[in-house]
Amino acid sequence: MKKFFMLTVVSLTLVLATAGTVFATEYKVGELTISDVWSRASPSVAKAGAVYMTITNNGAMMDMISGIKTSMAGKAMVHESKMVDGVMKMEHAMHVMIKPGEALTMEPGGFHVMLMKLTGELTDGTSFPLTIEFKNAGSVELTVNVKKK
Amino acid sequence: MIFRALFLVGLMTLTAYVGYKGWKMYEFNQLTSQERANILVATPIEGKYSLTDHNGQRVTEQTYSGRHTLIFFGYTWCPDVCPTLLTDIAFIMDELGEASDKVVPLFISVDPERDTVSVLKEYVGEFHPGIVGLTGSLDDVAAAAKSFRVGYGKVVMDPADPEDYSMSHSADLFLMGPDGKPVKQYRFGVDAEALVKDIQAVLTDG
Ligand SMILES: [Cu+2]
Repeated sequence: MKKFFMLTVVSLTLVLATAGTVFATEYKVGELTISDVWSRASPSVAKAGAVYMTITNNGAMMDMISGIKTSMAGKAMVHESKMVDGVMKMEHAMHVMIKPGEALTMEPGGFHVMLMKLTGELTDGTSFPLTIEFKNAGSVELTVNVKKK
Repeated sequence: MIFRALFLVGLMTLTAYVGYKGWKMYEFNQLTSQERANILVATPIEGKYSLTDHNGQRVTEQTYSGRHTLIFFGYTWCPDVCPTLLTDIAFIMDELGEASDKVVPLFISVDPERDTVSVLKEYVGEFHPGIVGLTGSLDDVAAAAKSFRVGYGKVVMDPADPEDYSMSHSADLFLMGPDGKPVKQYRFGVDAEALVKDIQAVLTDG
């Protein structure tokens, strides 16, 4: 019986651990859902960073990112890393649209919120607030989790 | 009764967990066609360089002869691609275990104006102690990049703030043999687990 009990404890721990990763925080603003908000942990000497997230538009209208603010950076804007003739280039994405019924995935090597003039360190396991504003849906404050991967 | 219920829940979870892990293993063995396409037999590059390592020592490709080198070009102000690759390289080194002794990862700066020896040392060291940062004069870096056929350039994003420029650069990862000759070339986007597998295969084949 004791053995079963231990097994149960171990299993329940696993459930909780799995649930933690699967049911991560989701934010809703208007018809938009924002999930998987994270930033890569970087060395303390790093001068720039990137935030990734997935924005899903459940509505019938196009929406657009109109502003980003965070205490972590002097400047924050959406960039896109693009492969052009075998060279990775970063471009300022001026009008980032989130089409109805579609999702905008920001992930390494593609769209990202570029953090310039970092005001703090992107230390693994910490988090910081970031406010993202949409043209239609309005603005929402997100908690960005800093992690290695 | 309660124990029994808990046990059942536990058992179900365990089954789900094992299933999930199994699926992950399967996925790992199934490279996407995109990933397959991104693993190349090395292009015929010379791969020569004469640079300064993050301890201030002059180095060339001969410095590392007898070991494989895993080389890519980037810069420390890079927010997205370089930290991603450096994290992957740290993962690869850890996964290689003892075999990582046979591999030296080199991060060559394409931005020597900002990437001084001391900045580089602190930067790469926080990803993995085995990674070596290389920098040099503008000419040194240009010569190295040319020898790897790597393109790069300065991009001023905001004309009002020209100091906060970014660098465009090739994001290929080069695996060089113990003789300094190119063995493999990986395009950006190959999964780190696939890289481990491919590099392991190269190391075992000699
Ligand atoms: Cu950027």
